[in-house]
Amino acid sequence: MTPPDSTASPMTKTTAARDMIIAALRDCQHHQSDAIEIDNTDVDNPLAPYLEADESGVNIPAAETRQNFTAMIEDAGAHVIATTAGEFPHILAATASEYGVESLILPQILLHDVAIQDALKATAIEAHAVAEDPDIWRKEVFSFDAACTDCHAAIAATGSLVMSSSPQQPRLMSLAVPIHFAVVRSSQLYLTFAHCLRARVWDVDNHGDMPTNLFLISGPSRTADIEQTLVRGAHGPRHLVVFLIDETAS
Amino acid sequence: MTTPQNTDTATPHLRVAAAQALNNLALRKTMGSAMDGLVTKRHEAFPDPARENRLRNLGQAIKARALADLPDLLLEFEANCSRNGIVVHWAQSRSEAALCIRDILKDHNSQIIIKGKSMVSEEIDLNHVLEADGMEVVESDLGEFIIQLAKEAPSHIIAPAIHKNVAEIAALFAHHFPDTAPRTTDPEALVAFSREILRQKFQQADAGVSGVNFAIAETGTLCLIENEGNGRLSTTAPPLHIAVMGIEKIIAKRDDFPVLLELLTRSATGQPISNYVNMITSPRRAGERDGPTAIHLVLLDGNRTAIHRDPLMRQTLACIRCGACMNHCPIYARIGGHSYQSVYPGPIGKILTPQLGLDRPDMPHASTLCGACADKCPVRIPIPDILRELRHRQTSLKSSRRGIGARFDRMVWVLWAILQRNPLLYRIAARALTRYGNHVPLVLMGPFRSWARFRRRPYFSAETLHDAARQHGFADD
Repeated sequence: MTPPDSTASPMTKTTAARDMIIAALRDCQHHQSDAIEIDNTDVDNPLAPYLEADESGVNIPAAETRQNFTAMIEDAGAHVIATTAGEFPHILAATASEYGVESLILPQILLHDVAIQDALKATAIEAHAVAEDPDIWRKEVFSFDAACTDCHAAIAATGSLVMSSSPQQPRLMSLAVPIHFAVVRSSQLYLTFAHCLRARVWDVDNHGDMPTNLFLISGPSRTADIEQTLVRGAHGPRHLVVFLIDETAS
Repeated sequence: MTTPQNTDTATPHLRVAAAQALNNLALRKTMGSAMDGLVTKRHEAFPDPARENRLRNLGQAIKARALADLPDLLLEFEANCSRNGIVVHWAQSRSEAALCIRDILKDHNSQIIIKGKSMVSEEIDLNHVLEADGMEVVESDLGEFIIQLAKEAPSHIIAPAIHKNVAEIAALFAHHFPDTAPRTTDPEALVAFSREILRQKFQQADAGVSGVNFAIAETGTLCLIENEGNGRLSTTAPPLHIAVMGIEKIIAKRDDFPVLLELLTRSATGQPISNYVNMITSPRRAGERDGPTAIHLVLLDGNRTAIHRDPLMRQTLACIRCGACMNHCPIYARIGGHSYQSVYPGPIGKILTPQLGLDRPDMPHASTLCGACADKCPVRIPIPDILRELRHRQTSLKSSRRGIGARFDRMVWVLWAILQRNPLLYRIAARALTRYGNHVPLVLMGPFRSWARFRRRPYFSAETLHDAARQHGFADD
């Protein structure tokens, strides 16, 4: 194979590298059957360890799933507040006040909610929309005290929230602020990450199989890089408050 | 920070560095408590042996299959990434990869580069290449930030500054930021201080560079795993994101991810899941307010295709970079990561570094083959078997290995062959051992001296095997 022309465009250069790498990988006598045979391991069913319990008819009560989720995410340093749809606006306002929040970013759906607007009126909290202009957004988001977002799902086994980026809720909204308020409904609770993948919980605005950014959040930001001492609030939010809305309550 | 690329002249034998480390009492104390803690955490994270075995078998099978299908998966991955708007570049050598990244940054007029933790970026010595071109490179992972200030290399693949105690870190901050650094050894205050400094950089950076923990071929998705949030910030706030990964990081299906994720986080730090799991499939789409407008991915070969050829050695590429092997290694715990003088230290480093084409003949010998590493490896890499194979390749009589050690090895086997072919010489040598073997003073033992100082010496019986056999009635025919 002739060496790539050094004046060629980058794409051409790396195409040549690609062809050589692929050829080198193919150029061995071993076939797929050389992949290791491991007893009792069904590599075609990698979600089996997580989904099997369901298939054998084990039914975990919703209350227990809620408790497991709460215990796991609180163990990681988050604060879970159980509430109802009716109480939520008031609880959000009260909690944000307790945390000393003065500027709160809200997605459009909450910003225009009359109950939320009323609840916030009684406080010193100023609600903000997500800026339209990405450059303004990038500056602003680092200066606000808190943001409130909702989620696609919550995972009980690991105490995790499942979110994705969207025009209404940009990536930095749950990341650049010191305090993140997350809203989860009881109908959004799943046992494991595998269950969420199976249910494609993000599949609302479908551009393909995956959103641009799908992420799991399992607590406030943390680090143990200094003598293995756990410290919260490294670069992401220092506080994570989860409002768990019980939809079965009246 | 320096990573040894060519060690023909530079790197002293690991034994020398290890001896120095053993005398460093502060290091031994820091490493001892850190490793004890991580061993306990991993133990508590896998309370059910049956489930642990099941997950490890599945992890091993998933990686083995992905490696068996690697060329097809790489092409599938590239096609999906491109379809999603991620630009894919291929690099055969380390320098090609570093220069490729430099050129992408220059094309985008990037001046301030913020980095998430990436072992591959250390492997290709990326920071030096970018800084030589006048770019400002800031490490955002707290451990990497610390060692960047200290101008040191990382000493562990998960916790780069694990060898430093809090007093050393506080002093480092005070030295570099004399006006603003907090005068305290309280970790909370030190973390808060670095948060403020790095926050500015996230806002200003022109580009973010990251590694990739797992790359999903089926969907063209990059999976990044972290606790601090700097990874998400580095790959989200700047307008350009460049990801760099070794070609072995590919997994076939999205469904393969949950098992490997759980194995990685539990094996590394004992956590059921990392604080943030980020799955990136495309740059900013229409209507979105943030996320990079351009994502470039650089795929590095760096000799991995050579490792891939052999079915035993190929298992080296299954590594998911959890660090459990080094956490459990009795040698690593005592000498620390810097003694290995390699980007990848510890047990995985000892099998990976020589195979990446870096000239380190000492590394496969720096092991007692105790197997603690293989016992804990989440994807069951047979590290001791691979170490033995590397040693075997070195000691083959046809090997081109140089040096006194090599000549000694070859001399031993030549002498052995002479004794075996010559019955009279053999009998003389055997009798000599029975009579004098137990009386050889240490000082005359030559190259066996250091070995014999710390081990009980074998005891030679008073009669040779041949004599004992004759007494029992065995004749030569």
